Amino acid sequence: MQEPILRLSNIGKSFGDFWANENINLDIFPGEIHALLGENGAGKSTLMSIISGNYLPDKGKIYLKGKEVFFRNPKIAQDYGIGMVHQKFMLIDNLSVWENIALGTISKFTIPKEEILNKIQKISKESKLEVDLHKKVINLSEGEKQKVEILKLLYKQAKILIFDEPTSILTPQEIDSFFEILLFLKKRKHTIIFITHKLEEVFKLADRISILRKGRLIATFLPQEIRSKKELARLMVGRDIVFKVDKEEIQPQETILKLENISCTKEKQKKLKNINLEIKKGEIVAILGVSGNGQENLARVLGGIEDFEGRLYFQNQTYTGHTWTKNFPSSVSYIPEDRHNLGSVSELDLEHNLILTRLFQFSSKWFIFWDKIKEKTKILLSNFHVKAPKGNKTLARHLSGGNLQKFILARELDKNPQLIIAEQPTQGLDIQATEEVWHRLLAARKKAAILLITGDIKEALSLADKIAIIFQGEIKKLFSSQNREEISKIGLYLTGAI
Amino acid sequence: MLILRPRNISLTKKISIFFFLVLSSFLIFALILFFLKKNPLLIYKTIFFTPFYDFYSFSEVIVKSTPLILTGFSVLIAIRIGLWNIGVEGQLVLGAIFSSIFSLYFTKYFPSSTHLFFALFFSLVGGALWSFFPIILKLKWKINEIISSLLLNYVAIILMEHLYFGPLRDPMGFGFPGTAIFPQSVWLPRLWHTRISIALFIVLALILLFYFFLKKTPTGYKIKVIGENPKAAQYAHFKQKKLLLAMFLLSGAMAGLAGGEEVLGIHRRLQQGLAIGYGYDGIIAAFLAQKNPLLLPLVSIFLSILKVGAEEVQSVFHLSASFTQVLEGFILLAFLMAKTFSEFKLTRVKTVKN
Repeated sequence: MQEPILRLSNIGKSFGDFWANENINLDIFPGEIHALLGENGAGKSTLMSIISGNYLPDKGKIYLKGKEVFFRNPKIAQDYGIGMVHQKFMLIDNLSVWENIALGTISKFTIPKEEILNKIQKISKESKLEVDLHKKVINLSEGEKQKVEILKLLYKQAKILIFDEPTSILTPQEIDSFFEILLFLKKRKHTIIFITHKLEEVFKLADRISILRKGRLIATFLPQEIRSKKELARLMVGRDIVFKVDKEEIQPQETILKLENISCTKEKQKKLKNINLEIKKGEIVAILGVSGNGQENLARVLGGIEDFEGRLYFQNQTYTGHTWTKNFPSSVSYIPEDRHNLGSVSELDLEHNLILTRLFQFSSKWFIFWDKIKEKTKILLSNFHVKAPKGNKTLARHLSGGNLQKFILARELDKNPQLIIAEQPTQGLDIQATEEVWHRLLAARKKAAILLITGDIKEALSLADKIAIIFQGEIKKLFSSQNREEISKIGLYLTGAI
Repeated sequence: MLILRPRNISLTKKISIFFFLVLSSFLIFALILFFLKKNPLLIYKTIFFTPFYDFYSFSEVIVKSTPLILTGFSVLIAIRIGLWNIGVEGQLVLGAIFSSIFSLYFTKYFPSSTHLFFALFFSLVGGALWSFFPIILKLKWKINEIISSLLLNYVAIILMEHLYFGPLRDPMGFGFPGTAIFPQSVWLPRLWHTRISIALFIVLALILLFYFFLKKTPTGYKIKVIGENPKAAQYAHFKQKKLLLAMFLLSGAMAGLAGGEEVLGIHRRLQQGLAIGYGYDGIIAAFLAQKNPLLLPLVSIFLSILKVGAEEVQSVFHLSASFTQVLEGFILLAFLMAKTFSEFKLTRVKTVKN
């Protein structure tokens, strides 16, 4: 048997009372592609942050090629040839590609530009990672940025490369070329660890698969030892999961929202171009797109936070951008993607957060009815299964992402809205919480029209009655979620291929 | 290697950490005094016993704490909505100027029973006016209110000096830099043969009112949300600009009231020695009170004890009274450290030589 290049022994890491990692023993062998699988909150990112020197472990030891090492900071891990590509890229937008790559490696007073450029060019040719070195990072696509991140690691002579959910923001085409890069790196004897919760990727790429559940390492497998995706999913969650959502048929009723030529310009860039859309009560319309194609702006426009041009009809009333933001109707619920900073106030307790969008229901002109709020919060916490350590008095920041999302959902649905704008409602949630959110939304459409803004194809197919593809600020295609022919072309629509 | 790790501890433990750190700051300060060849024990005894020597001494503590509660209140009001008012000193001066001009020249147009009311009212107006400039610059052109309000302090002080050295100087004052004594009808009534005036009770009532305003009213709630997270306030469609303007003006008005209280209650004229740093001490008071208005009076009394004690030390030991500012700094530092250490613990991590 081969000697492991990296060995983790009894690694433990806690945040407060919560153990994100406990007793983790893991061997990584040189030249393998090792997939780390687990639900959200299973402790994958924590573990990788320990390996790359971003976190210090509370317990346990790390051995590199048999020798004990201590990574006080990422720089030291880097010196040992360990590098990480984070889920959110760590690049500086205003610097050029080559400056980003060379950042942190120059110890001289002057910058040997030619030398650096030559070195990068050599690496990029060898590894077939071709990017225009003089372009500013802000002008790159997500796929190109990822290439820059990989070049950064190779430039620093990383031997072990860690990727945190590398494919989550890439288009299907970009994902394919990313896989090629990984296989190429493997051929060049690099060791690769990647975090994912997409099961297909695991079967396609991994030499070995480790599964984390609730901070513990469940087991490490060879891909052929696992029979099916379903089994893998069960290992991840610890129970059988339903991949199909049972959807009750509902006849669409009157039109609730109609958009007419909605456009939006920000920093001299057209973010939305002439959006036309109609949503009826009892209907879920999904806006599907790869992030950065204007759906963030659409959500903010409809949520009354961003100004727009064009006309909007809501419940037989006409609004312009100005009147919509000024007199935002209380019968609209906006569930934002950023639940920590937009949808809630992290330093206030749940009672305070309950009335964030519902102050008018729980106050007269002069007084807030705290007794009523207390009661309502209690009921919603238990009905929506929100785990709050201190009940009503829990600060919003002490809720986990999934529980906070459930709380916001509870707040907004209980308002009995006519229109619900749900922006990436299950992003970052584990399978259990996702299922719950989905069921809640499906139930809510009986009384409301729902606009679902998502990047998750499965989510759109499971929930929506109609799917609208958004690409570069335009709605490219609108079709029924039953239309098999169109569904088969979603990947092409998303990337703008047709 | 030492690192900070988060922890959860009980309130009693947190408080004991705080007192431990405050105690150590006193010890460090004692060391400094020792090197100055002064007896630290005697000096501490003077600081902490003088104010309690008799009723009058303690009343002086209360007298000193009244403007401090107000300036602290002024800073705190702004903080609650997420703004920094560093211009309290200048707003205090403007409040005093407005109050003085009314008291000297306009009392004759009003019945005497309303004089005091108007004199106080104009101090509010003066302070609010001086806070209007920074906040309007902020709301219109996003100019940082910390800098603009701070710079206006110097303008206000020079304006005041011009007034009492120039046009407002008392012609019978033998060249003394100050205005004439105000008519008695604007004097703040004093209590119990001390210099404590009814202003103290006005101030305490205002603080209580503000506390319930934040807690019970929808507007108070909106202010809390804007102060904690302006983005969430935008999400909730609160009208932010109006509230930011109103709260900053209120903050300025409270600072102005501090000025009015000083000239109407203590000096009874506008004179040198008005701008002696209550505005800046207010920042410390607001910080120590932890955004909680109810704690302000306690914190202000504590800081005033140091001040009164220091004056005594100055006359007895020939030490500059400003040395208490060093002690104040130490205490603030201890407080900040206590805040960190009640949430994190310092742990040693075993390191391996790589």
